[in-house]
Amino acid sequence: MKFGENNNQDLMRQIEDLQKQVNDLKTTLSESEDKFRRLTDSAPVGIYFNDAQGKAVYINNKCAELVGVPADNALNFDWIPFLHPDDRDRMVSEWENAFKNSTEFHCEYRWVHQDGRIVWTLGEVIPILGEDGKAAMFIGTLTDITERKQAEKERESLIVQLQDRTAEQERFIYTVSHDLKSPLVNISCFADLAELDLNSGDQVSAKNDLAIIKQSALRMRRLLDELLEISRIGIKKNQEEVVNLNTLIEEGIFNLSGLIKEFHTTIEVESDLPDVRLDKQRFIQVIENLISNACRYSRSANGGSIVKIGVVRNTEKLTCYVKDNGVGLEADYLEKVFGLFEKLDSTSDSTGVGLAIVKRIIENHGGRIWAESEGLGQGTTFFFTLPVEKQ
Amino acid sequence: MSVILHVEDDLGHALLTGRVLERLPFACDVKLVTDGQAAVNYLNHAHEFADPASSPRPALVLLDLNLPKVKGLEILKLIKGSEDLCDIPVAILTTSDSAEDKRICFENQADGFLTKPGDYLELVNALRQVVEGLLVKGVPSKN
Repeated sequence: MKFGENNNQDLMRQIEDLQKQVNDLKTTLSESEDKFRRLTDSAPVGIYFNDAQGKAVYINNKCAELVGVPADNALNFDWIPFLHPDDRDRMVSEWENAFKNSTEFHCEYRWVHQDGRIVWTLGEVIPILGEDGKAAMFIGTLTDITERKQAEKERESLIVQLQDRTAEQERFIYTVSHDLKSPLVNISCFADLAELDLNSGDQVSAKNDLAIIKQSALRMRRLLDELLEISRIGIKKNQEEVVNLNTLIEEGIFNLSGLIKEFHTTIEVESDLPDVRLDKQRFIQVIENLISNACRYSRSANGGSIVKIGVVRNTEKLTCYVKDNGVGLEADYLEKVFGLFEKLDSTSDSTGVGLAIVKRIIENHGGRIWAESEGLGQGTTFFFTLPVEKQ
Repeated sequence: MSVILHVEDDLGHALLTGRVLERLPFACDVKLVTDGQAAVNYLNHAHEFADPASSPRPALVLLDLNLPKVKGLEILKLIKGSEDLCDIPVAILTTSDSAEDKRICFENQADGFLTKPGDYLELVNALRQVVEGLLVKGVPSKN
């Protein structure tokens, strides 16, 4: 064997060994990459790598899904337009800061998908530092927090509702206690006065005192009945059913026929009114209260008002109206009339509960009620919205 | 004769107060209005109260809080916020015994606050004390 041949053979063996080592390393790397992709693609969070300039060089499937870009072409998309417009400036500023200072950051932001769906994510970004101590790349994760955000929103809305309800209850208790005390003061003080008047032989005054006591006791009873009624509205719910609006209104008018006759009121109801889904018994109360008000607040002492009932067509919701040509309302009182115990006329025998009942029933049906009037002497129209039953 | 503007929507309460005022040791002319807007009109000499001869400036206002149209607190603020009216003493006459109502009324410069008692003689004494204190002696009552 020649000297040179041995050397060549050694060299060849070394090359073969090196090639084997390279191939082994390639296989290991490929296996490692495969494991890495399998791991990241099955991860429940979005994972991405950005280079030092912020360009995405890798993103996993979950990340593409959360951002709302196609997984097979995700690297070619600019992500900024997918961010919610209100979050863009904040995100750009966070990234600028991270590039400049090679720092990590985490924040919550929204992505708007093509179908309009909004996905909330918690984004966490950490820099991988190069030898110069500056970020060579960034590793980021995105966690879907949409459900948590929705739960937070619902919780906040419930808290607001609860606060409103508590404030309403407090107002209710305050108003009730105040208004119930009024007839009680009359009853007890006039009882004392009746005794004084009888002792002094003044029978006429004593009789007047007793009349006021009776009147106050009756008023108190009416107040209690109506308060009980208004408190029941929120608690006891009757079954909702599909009913024709004309049928409902006719029933309300029938129940009030005595009062309508007494006040010589003419009621005109539009024909062909639609079907509605509601609590029938409660809704008849609405109609009765509004008609009864229209009768009592007609312009002349003998009544004679005309009440028109119908619906406003071409509105998104079904809007009903009850319009009278009575005494009308000044602008300041258009909202006040719905308050509990709000009376605009101190001489009327109303307790000021009727329209509060109406408002509560309409709101329990998811509707809204309001009053419109051109002013005193110009009549009043009450409008309310109702859930319409689709044909 | 001192004019008292009495703002009260409950006619029973108005009669009661009227009887107490009739029996004061000095004569007074009580002008009763039964809602808040009428009180505002009276104080501003508006509408049916335009004639100062029949609707003279009151020396004292007895004011209920819970009134139709304009609430008593608004009337108190109107009086105490007006250069022309702020020196008229205002006593609140109410069924409310709420500390919060009392605080708000005094914060808005009410000169007296009387929770109407359920006993006639108690009412007579308390009302006399308030009216005499404010009308005769000009002493604010914190009853």
